Amino acid sequence: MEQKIETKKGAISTLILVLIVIVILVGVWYWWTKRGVTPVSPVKPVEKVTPKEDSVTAINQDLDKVEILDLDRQFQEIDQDLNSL
Amino acid sequence: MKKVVFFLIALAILGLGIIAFAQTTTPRLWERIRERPRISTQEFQQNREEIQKLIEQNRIEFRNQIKAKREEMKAKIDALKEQLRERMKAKISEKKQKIVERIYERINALNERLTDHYMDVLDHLEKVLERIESRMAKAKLNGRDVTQVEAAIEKAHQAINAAREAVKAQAEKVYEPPEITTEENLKLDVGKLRKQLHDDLKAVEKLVKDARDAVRQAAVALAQIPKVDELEVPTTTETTTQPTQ
Repeated sequence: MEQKIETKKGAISTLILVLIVIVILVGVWYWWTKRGVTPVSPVKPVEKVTPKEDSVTAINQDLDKVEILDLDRQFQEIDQDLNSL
Repeated sequence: MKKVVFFLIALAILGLGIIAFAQTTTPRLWERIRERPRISTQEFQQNREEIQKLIEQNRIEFRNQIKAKREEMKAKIDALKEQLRERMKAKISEKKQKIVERIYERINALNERLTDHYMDVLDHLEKVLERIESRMAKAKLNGRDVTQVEAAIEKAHQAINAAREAVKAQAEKVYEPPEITTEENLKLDVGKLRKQLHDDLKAVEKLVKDARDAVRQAAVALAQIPKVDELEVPTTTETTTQPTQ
């Protein structure tokens, strides 16, 4: 009977030991993975390089903005009225 | 006595010519700084700002001239509209009278709107050209060969001035109401007025497009100078003795 109780105690101790080892291993693993992760530095906003206002790029960009209205389209209303005569 | 009269007439013509030249000539950066033995970055920038101010003043003055002329034109257009009503009364139906009247109003309104638009385009082009000239001046101060750019800038200025004069003349035009013959010919009669405005505006549009192309040519010529965007006003510059490569 006493031997049985001792065997049980030994099994429980082994189980506790195994559990402690597992907890330690998990802890070590967690610590290890955390250590490996380098903190992500905040992404620096990309600085927009504004071309000098008298640079060729800026001049061409500005020239592209020059829009001349389509003359015939401007006559549409007049033409509609003319057609109703 | 004849000689005195002739001299006075010649003087008056010369005076008018000078006034007209002053009104149509755009202030130029290089012309301003070329005579200076040395120029600093600050002075260069200051000259640019002064040129920009002068361009803006010219623009306002030009607009005011047209605005004043348009005020005068309003009364004339109203009188012509009244004439048109009288002319149409006995000849065509009331419904068609209203349409013709509306077309006549739209003709003058469209002329005003499009000439304003062309003026905006030319103002924009003039500002771009000033920037081209600034960059060209920096290249020249660094001893680069800018002959092609200078020629292109000159052409662009001429094209802008020609277009501006045409826009002004167009903006000051008052279109006479159409001659109404019969109700059957109404479309044809009013169509003549439409064609007249279209042809006039087309001619002005061509000059405005020519000005835009000329400015683009100047920009293209500027871009052909190697590393032109990196050039700035040199610290010690002798503007009068700059060799060109």
